[in-house]
Amino acid sequence: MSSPSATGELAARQPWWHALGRVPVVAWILVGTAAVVVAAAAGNPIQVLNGLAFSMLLFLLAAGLTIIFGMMDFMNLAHGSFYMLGAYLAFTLVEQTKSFWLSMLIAPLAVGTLAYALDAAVLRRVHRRGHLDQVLLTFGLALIVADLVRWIWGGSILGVPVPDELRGAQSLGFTIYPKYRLFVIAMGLVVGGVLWYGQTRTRIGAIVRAGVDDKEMVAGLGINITRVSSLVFAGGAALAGFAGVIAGPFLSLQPGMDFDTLIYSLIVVVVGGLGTLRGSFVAAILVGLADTFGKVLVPEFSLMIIFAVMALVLLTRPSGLFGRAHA
Amino acid sequence: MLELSDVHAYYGESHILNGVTLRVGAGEAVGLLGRNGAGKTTTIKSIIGFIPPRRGSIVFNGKNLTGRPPHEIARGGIGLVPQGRGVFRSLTVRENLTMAARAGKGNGWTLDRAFQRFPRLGERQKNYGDQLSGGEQQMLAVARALMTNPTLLLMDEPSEGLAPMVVREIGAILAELKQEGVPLLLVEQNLLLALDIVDRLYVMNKGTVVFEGTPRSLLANETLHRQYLGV
Repeated sequence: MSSPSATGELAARQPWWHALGRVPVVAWILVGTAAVVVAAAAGNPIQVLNGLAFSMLLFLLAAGLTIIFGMMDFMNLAHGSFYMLGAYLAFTLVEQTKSFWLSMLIAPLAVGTLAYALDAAVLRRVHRRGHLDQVLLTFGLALIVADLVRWIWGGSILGVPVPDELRGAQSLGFTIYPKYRLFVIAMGLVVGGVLWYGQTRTRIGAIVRAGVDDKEMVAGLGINITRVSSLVFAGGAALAGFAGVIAGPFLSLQPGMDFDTLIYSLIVVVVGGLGTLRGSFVAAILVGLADTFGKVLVPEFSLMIIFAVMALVLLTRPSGLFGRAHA
Repeated sequence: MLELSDVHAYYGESHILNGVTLRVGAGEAVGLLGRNGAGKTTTIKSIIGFIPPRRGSIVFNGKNLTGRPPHEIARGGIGLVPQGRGVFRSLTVRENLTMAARAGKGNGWTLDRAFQRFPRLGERQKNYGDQLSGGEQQMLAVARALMTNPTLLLMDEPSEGLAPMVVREIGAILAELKQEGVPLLLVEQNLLLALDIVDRLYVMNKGTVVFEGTPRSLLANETLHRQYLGV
């Protein structure tokens, strides 16, 4: 309990923007939603939908990354590479099998399996060694994957055809919009729902959250947290691969997509707060919309805008929108 | 059933445990006393495998646990109530209990039975770990360890930082567990609480055991009090 005078002193010593940090998260979401509504009302509903489609891709990427960060304290700079691998694998699978849906199933599984093997073979060795070693190792892996992809698929821009069922546009009343992008938004929501259910309503979800709180204690209760971590890592990589697959038909496949995506997903993770799925979801929408509208309204500054969003969030809530302060 | 022989353990390069030898027999409640920094918590952490011994051995129910990973040691039947309680703050009370639940060889603890024994936890089952009072957290930590149905309980300072009334309640729970025949290794600074419950006790100093005996023999030995317990 602090006396009123102590609180007053504290407020006097802190810069004015610290007051923003005491604004509840709900208020932040409302402000974000309001911004979206205003933008939509300003006559650009298509850009809102474009922004949301991009947001959902970011969410799929950040969901895995944030849990891996939160639970394993593991900095994975190869996360964008899993995304790229998913996209390119799907490209080849679609060519070979002519089925987008089959590719959507196989490519993430393949990426997840590869991630599991990588974790068991090399990554696990640096889990305890601190972030610098992890960054160096995973950055090296990312470079290797980038070169392998260029070697196998070449350096030119590739595209995955939109599956027949999702060609064309859908009327939404206020506008017409490409069916495929609506599908991307729907997939983001469905996967988000499944992840939310898994994390909050199942025992394995509780174990994962407990792992974010205190890994050692989980092990002390008889749970093989190392195995759980490996599965979470593989699952996160599979999600990134999945994002790559569904990104194929609406973004293009090209060298460099891994690092571009990595930067965006890192921003989402930081804005949302390490280890929180909810945070990643809200932050993905925020960053996706800010980026899309930035590109439309002030193309010269578009990259700056998302960094400005990140800076603003970090100034007011240093552990992210939904992050908990570390003790 | 639990036997530590000549256990040496290190934090990095500093030698914390300097040859600890102790045992807990079937149905026995054993105390581990000593000043801050004597090595009590490190002993607990060595047993559960958080700080594996570099020398010596830890045998539990005839199985050599030395160097095994913590989850295997816990699965062997050791329940842990750690210092600071280790309650998962982003899990509800109910989840804290169900995530740990396991049908061990212990005394058939279930969620229902835990809520029956700790009605307060039942009332607060939907609250998150960080919304509980210190006493409630301690009860949760004990109940959570019981949910793994252990055949031995390790308890590290269950009375730490609690109000006297809550300490009495924790004491009653410990006494009850002892009645049920759950073997107990209890680290405690609260001498009165410990002496009330344990059958036998060890006093540690500078990483080694300096006294072994009954509560009565400890009470009779005033130099020991002054030198190693500071009372």
